[in-house]
Amino acid sequence: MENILALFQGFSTALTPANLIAAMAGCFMGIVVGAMPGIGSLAGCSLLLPLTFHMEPVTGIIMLAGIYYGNMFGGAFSAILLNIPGDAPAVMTALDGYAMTRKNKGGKALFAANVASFIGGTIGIIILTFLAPTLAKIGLKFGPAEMTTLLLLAFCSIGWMMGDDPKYGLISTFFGAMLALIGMDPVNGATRFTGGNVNLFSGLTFIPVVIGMFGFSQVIEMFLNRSDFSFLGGEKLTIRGSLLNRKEMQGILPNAIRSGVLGCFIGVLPGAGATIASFISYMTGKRISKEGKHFGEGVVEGIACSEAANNSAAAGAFAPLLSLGIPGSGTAAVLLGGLMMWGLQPGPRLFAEQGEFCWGLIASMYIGNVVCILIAIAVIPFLTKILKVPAGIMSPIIITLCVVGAYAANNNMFDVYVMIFAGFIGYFLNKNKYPIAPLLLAFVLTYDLEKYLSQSFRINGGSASIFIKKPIALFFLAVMVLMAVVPVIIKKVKAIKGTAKE
Amino acid sequence: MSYLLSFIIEIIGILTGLFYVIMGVTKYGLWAGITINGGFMPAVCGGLVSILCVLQIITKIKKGVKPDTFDPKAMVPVAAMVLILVCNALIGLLPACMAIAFLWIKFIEKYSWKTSLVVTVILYLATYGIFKLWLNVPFPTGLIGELL
Repeated sequence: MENILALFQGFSTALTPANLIAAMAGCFMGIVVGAMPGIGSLAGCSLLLPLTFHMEPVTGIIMLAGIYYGNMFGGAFSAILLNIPGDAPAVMTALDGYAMTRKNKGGKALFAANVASFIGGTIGIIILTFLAPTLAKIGLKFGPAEMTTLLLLAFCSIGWMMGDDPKYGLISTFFGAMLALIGMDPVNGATRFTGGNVNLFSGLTFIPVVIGMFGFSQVIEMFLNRSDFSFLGGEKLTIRGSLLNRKEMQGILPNAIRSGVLGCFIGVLPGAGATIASFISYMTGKRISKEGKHFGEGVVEGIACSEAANNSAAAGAFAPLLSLGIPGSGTAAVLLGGLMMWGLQPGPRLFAEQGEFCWGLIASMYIGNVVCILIAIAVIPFLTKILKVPAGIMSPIIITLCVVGAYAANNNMFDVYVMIFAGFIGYFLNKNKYPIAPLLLAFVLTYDLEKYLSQSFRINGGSASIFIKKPIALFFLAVMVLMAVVPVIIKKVKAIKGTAKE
Repeated sequence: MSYLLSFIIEIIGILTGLFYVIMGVTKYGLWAGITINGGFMPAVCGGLVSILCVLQIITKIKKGVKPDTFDPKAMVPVAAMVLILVCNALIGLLPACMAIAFLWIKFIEKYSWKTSLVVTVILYLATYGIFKLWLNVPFPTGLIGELL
């Protein structure tokens, strides 16, 4: 009750004209920047942070939160329409989103992404409203051992679940891990596999790799098999034709709600963030959703899982940020910088000492979420016009976006070389039916996995027993074993039943 | 050669995997005192990739391998990228992208001069407006840009 009253007071703060305009401007800019390949939420917030320097603290953070939120919405656009995820959390969205676009259902995919983002975001904010301090404490229970097993679970699940033959997924996963091992190792700080190249000391950057693997490899594909891209420049997509029907909404709702809850809890975990949330939610959906076996072929349920989770995780990341002063993600760290710049000290006393600020921010998230979906739906008719561009013109446009996006990630030409190399590798992987998503997931997770694994051994004197002693870690290990064993048992049982029938 | 192409990913996987194992064990080390060393993850990942790739080759052979071919046309987009890099050194990144986009639309896709020019100008205005003017991304200007 106390929280609801505080929230209402927060609305009175957030609904002042200046704050409302800041929220709307933030959401709009966030969507535009999020849709640009190569920028992403971290770079987007960092680049736009100076815009808030001269604002009141509440107005400034409301705008930044709007940018963060808008980024999560916008990241899906380029993933769905061009198969270039704007940011890591949108990788899973590209799987089903682009597959829908290829079936001439790009408008529906965008609608599904927006609706799921809204549902996920709303769930995340509601959980944040009532459970921010509790959530933050749960997040703190995740030490190195728990994080190691959670990451291992994510690592293995995607390898097993992508494609009919797990070997394809697993090989792709470990290829990703090997790419991530280039650069500085998190254990000793020494460099590995760099060949003395200074550009590789900090490792390969994710954005050029993802742009190359998805975007550039697609240009090669587009050039070789033009007939597969006949959906480009084809029939006109209308807004009415893009609306979701009842059956599709029924498919989205349970997946978005489940992923929203799951995503919020994962978003709270330090270092986990929206990327892992979208990966794990997608994998969970693939396993338990009715349409699970069609995930990756272009179903709205797949989009709902990843989009709801990443928006919810974005809200979840605010819980440790506000309650404990611990940023849950890189973008949250930029927001923390913003808070400190305005003289605010996030931590357990922030809600008590700066209640107006905290609740104003949370209230602005509700408003931002509504503003984002309105803007995102309003731009669908313009976005779908992209699909009217013929493949012949689309290829050089994507090439330009790939080069500019890869360069903009770090303002470094080396990233453009990485993008070209990744594109060529991506083309060969696609050609040989190796899924690219597990590679990218492993690429994102490996650094943290190695770091947490090293810390786990260090705090337990070199013994692996820590993974059994800690209940949460043991739970994740058990889930991992079950995931590996249960399908084999089911297969055997089915085979035995089949033989008995014969 | 065409049969070799069918196993290209697996062969690369085995070779790089073994390289990672050797480097992990010999150069970076597996264990240091009470925790893993820098070579632990490379050795584990490299080892697993090698084993999985060997298994994959066996599976493919059992299923019957179809010869694979490489279409040299796949090199056209790569050549376009290389041209962008070369032109970048001279005229800067954005103009290089636009020049290649124009040449692609006009000569590879065989659109009219007007369409090629209009698309290139719109593309330039959009990328320049968003990335350069708004987000202030410092694109390389090339030799000519520096002279100017």
